[in-house]
Amino acid sequence: MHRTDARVKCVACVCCVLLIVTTPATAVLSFTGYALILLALLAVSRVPILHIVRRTLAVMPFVLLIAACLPFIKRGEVMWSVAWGGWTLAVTRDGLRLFWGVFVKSSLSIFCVALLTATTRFDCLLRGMESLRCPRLVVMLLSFLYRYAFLFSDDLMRMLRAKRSRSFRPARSEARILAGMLGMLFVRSYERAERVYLAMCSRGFDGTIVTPGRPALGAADLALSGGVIACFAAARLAGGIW
Amino acid sequence: MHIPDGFLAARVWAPSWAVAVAGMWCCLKRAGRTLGDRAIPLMGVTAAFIFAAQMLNFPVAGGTSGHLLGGVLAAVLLGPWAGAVVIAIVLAVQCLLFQDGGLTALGANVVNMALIGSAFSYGIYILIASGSPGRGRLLASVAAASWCSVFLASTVCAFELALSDTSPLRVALPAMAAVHALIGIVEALITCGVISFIVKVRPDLLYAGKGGAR
Amino acid sequence: MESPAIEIISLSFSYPDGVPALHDINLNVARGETVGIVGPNGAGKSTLLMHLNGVLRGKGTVRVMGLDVNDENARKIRRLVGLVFQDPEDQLFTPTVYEDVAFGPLQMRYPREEIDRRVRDALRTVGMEGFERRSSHHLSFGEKKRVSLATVLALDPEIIAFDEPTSNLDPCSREEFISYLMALPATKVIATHDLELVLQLCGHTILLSGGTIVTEGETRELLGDRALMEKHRLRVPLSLALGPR
Ligand SMILES: Nc1ncnc2c1ncn2[C@@H]1O[C@H](COP(=O)(O)OP(=O)(O)OP(=O)(O)O)[C@@H](O)[C@H]1O
Ligand SMILES: [Mg+2]
Repeated sequence: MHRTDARVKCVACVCCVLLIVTTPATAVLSFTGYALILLALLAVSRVPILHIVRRTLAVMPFVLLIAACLPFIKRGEVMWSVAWGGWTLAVTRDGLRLFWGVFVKSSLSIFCVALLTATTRFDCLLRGMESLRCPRLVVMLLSFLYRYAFLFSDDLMRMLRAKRSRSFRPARSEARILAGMLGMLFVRSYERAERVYLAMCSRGFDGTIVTPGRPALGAADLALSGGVIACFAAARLAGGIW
Repeated sequence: MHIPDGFLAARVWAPSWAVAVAGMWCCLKRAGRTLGDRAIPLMGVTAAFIFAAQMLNFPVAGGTSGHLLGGVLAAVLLGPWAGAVVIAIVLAVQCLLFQDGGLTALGANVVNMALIGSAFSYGIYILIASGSPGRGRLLASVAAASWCSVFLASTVCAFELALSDTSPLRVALPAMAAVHALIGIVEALITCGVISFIVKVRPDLLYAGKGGAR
Repeated sequence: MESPAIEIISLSFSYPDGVPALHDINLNVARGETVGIVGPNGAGKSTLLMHLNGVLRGKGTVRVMGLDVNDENARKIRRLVGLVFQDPEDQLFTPTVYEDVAFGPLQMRYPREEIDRRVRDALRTVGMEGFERRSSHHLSFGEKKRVSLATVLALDPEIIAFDEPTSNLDPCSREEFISYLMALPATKVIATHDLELVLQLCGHTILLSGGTIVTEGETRELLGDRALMEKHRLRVPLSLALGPR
């Protein structure tokens, strides 16, 4: 899985996410199928499951928002209710179904994307996107971000340490100092951008981004991603609703 | 505010992808025209800056902490077009690398946080800071724009959720608006802090300071 | 007669914010020569190097191999003159070593096989073969420096300008790097504070201070002039001060 061509992995991932989000919430069988396929891929790729679970937690704030909405969905038969003073809080079947639907869809989609990025180096992913005709400019910008983000966060950590080592100020001015650090970081990153521009120019950059041609796709790669997409489609059909 | 996959119906995420793509295309063109070739490294490196800046936690009253979102910051520094591109690039990487925000929802997230939270909010900043503002008015307009950017983005997000039948508007809207009215205050304070520092040391780096001429 | 590698006639330059950085520079570098540029911090060394391939343009004339540096010739000039920046983080701006080294050849629209060959050769020259797939961010500083050199070598330039090639290198890496420099047949211009390096590599040296060329001459003579050196915040290199052995 780690060696599979990034292009086919991208396509497979997008197809799977599209299938997941367009499946009706009632198709429990389909969702079970998706989960089994993804778990199988996870086992093959040897990505630790904890990694995926941790990523899934990102949906929590939104899940909570939906949970908060539950008592307000009035349609359908009441599953569970609590009366308190003059108020009645009722959770309906429709509400629960909605909750279950978004929860399972978002978790499975995150599973898909997390599996893709855990098995693909980011630079390969970018090259893959590029050969899939994602605009070169966008790919170039993404690669700049990837190249310099960690350099800057290291910079920031160094500044933080330097600050800690010489100040014991009350928290009130702390925010101001931190904001100043970000300001400093921007000034540095702006100057960095200027120098990078000069470095690009001196190697012949003239405003157009040239990228290497795309290598041919291996049959095994195509078969793998085709297989995964087919399995997803089958799971979808098994759910009975297209 | 990064909407995950599954929370938006196809009738919402598909059109917002279209709007996002068209908007970004427009922004890239305009940014290239105002900044020239150097726009490419400048936007890329600034996106890395915003990405790193979002990791820095600011202590907020009551032991909680908040962090910068950066929409207005990017726009005030690089202009509305490049600013929106920068935020969109950050969103894309967060989606891919950390699964923060979904793939199908990326369009909506770009509309909310890049087009509305950065380019549109820059309009608010310009509205208040038109002419040649003093330091006070400049910072006031930065604060207003930052607060509005967070607040507007969250209300639009609530509408998108409601249109998808994911949550009724009368719950989602007040909930999102209330939470983000507070987050907006933090955003306004941080953005002001950063801009006031930059105004002090390198005022020439502000986009408006260049009269958009570069 | 063959035109000199570099010919600069009364070049002056101010940064956009009005800081004057270079004033009335006149300079000739013969083909195949190795020239050192020394001078205190802020003398304008880096600024001068940026003029050699036209990424900065000042008032005056800069000619490279007989070609005027202007927009028309920009492409040719960039292929003729390679610039190794002081900070390798500026020069290595893509995620992987391969992409960094291939950037120049790609911009020149060479065919794919040619690009691969150039990348391989350039990396071999600096002893970094097998690093193509590594990410630039995670290299050691010395490795980054070497890859920076490779990014320039991939274009096979006639003239290479180095900005502080040996700064921040440990003694061993420094020696290795110097041996790579020595092996290069190109015309070299080296701006540095490492006077021992100048002594070792450069026959001719230019002393730049406050944006003007104070003097130039044979390296041993110039660097051995204690009064001149100290006036410009430099020191006579130890190996010269201790006398010839
Ligand atoms: N981007 C810039 N904008 C404005 N002024 C600059 C810029 N870069 C350099 N300068 C100024 O130009 C002058 C010459 O700088 P330069 O970097 O060429 O010096 P240098 O000889 O390379 O110094 P060092 O040995 O410290 O590298 C300095 O006064 C510096 O402050
Ligand atoms: Mg320098």
